[in-house]
Amino acid sequence: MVNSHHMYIEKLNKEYMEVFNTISKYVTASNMDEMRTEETLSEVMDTFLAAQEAGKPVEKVVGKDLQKFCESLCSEKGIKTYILGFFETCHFMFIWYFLTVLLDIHFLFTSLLNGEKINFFTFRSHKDISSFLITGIFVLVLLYSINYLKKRFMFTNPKLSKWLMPISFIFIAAVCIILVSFLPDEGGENGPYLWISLIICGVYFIFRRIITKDKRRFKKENRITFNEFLGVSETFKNDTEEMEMNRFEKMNKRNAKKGKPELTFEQFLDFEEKNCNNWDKKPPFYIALATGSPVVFTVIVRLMNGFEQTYDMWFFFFIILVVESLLMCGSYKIINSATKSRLKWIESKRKSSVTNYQSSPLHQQNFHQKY
Amino acid sequence: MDNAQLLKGILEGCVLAVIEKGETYGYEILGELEKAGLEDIGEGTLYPVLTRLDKNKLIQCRRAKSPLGPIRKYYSITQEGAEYLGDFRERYRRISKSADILLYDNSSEMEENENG
Repeated sequence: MVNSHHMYIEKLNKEYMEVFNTISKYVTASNMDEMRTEETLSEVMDTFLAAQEAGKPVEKVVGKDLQKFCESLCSEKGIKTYILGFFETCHFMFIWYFLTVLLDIHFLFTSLLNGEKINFFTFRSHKDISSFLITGIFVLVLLYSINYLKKRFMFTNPKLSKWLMPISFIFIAAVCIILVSFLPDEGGENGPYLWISLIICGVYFIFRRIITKDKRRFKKENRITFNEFLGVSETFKNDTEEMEMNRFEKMNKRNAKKGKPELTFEQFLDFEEKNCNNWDKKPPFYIALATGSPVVFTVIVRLMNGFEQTYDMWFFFFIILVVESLLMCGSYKIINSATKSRLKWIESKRKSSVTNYQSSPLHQQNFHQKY
Repeated sequence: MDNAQLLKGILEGCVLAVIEKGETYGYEILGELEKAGLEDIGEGTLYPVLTRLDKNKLIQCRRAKSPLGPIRKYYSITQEGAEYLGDFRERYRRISKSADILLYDNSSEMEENENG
C-alpha cells in the first residue's frame, strides 16, 4: 500500500477540498504518468494541509485564477511523462491480449490431452486480431478525447465536464461489446501464431519493467503498512469508541424491548471480549472458507455437468481458489485490525474503570472501614 | 504590466537562493518568498520552477513522509546549482545597476555611492 494523497482528502475543510478536487480532476485528465500525477497531487495536498493549519484562505495559495494554477502545475513536465502516460493507458490492451494468449494456451493443452497432434509453431489463435486492435485503438482515441474535452470544459462548463466521463464509459463499453462480439469471426484458426503472441507479450512485459523502474522505486520508498493506512485514512477510520457505545446502547434497547434486565457496562465489556475471541475472528476460519468454497463450487458445477473434461475442472478449481484466497486474506486483515482495536479499547476501559473506582469516595470509605 | 512577467527571469535565482540556505520544501520556500515581499507567488508558479531546476540538475530532491502525512519533496542545492547561483548573482547585479541608471537616472548618485 502506497502513501497516497487520497488518504488525506477528508482532512481538508470544505473550501480546500472543493479546490483540491478540481485540481485533482485536471491533473488526472492531463495524461501524465501515474507517478508524476501522484507526486504533483501529494505536493499540492501537503501545501494545502500546511496552509489550512496556518489559517490561510485557499485563494492565497492558488491565486485568483484556478485554471492558470492548474495549467502551470502541469507545465514543465517533459515529454517522458506523457510517453509513460501513453503506455500506462495502453496497458489494458496488452493485458487483454495476454488473456487471449492464456486462453489459446488452454486450448492447446486441451487439444494435446485429447490426443491431437499439434505443432507449436503452426498453432494459431482462434480469435481474429483485427477486431481486437480496432477496439483498442478506438478506446485509446476516445479516452484521450474525453480527457481533452474534460480539461477544456472544466472551468467554462463544469456540468458538461462532470457528465462527460460516465456517458463516455457507457459508450465505450457498448462499442467494445459490439466490436468484439458481433464483428464477423470467420471461425477456424485465423488469428496470430501463438509463438509470435508469446514473444510480443514477453517483449512488452520486459519493456514495461524497464520503463516503470522509477515508478516501482517510488512505490517502494513510500510504502505504508495496512495499519498505518487504517490509522491515517479518514474514510476507513475505525472509530472504535463511537461504534462500541452505539452497540452498547442498541443492546440495552433490545433488552428493554424483550423485557430483559439492562446490561451493566462491565457485562457489556465481557460480552465484547468474548465476541472478539470468537472462532469467526481466527485465521483457520478464513483458511477453511478459502479452500472449502472452491470445492463446493466445483462440486456444484460438476453435478450440473458443467465440465467437458477433468482438465477444465482443475482449471476452474485453481482459478476459484486463487480468487477466494485473495479475498479471504484481505477480509482477515481488515477484521483482525478491527478486532485488535476493539480489544485495546476494552482493555483501556477496564483500566480506567479500575482507576476511577479506586479513587472514588465510596472505595476510599470501604478501604478505611476494612483496614 | 503583470508582476509575473517581471519576475519570470529572476524567480529561478530567488528560489535557488532560498534552497541554498539549507534543505527545504515547497511550502517553506513559498513562506520565504512571501517574507521577502514576493507575495504573488503561488504553488502553481513555484512548482514548474522547481521541476525545471530539478531537470537541469541545479537542485536534487528526496521524498519523505511529511509530519502532516503526504509525501513531501525536500530540495537541496547541487554543486552545479551553487555555481549557477553565483553566476546569476553577478549577472543580476550588473543588469539591475544598468536598469537603475535607465529607470531612475541616478547614475551620478550611484557612482558617488560606489566611490564612497
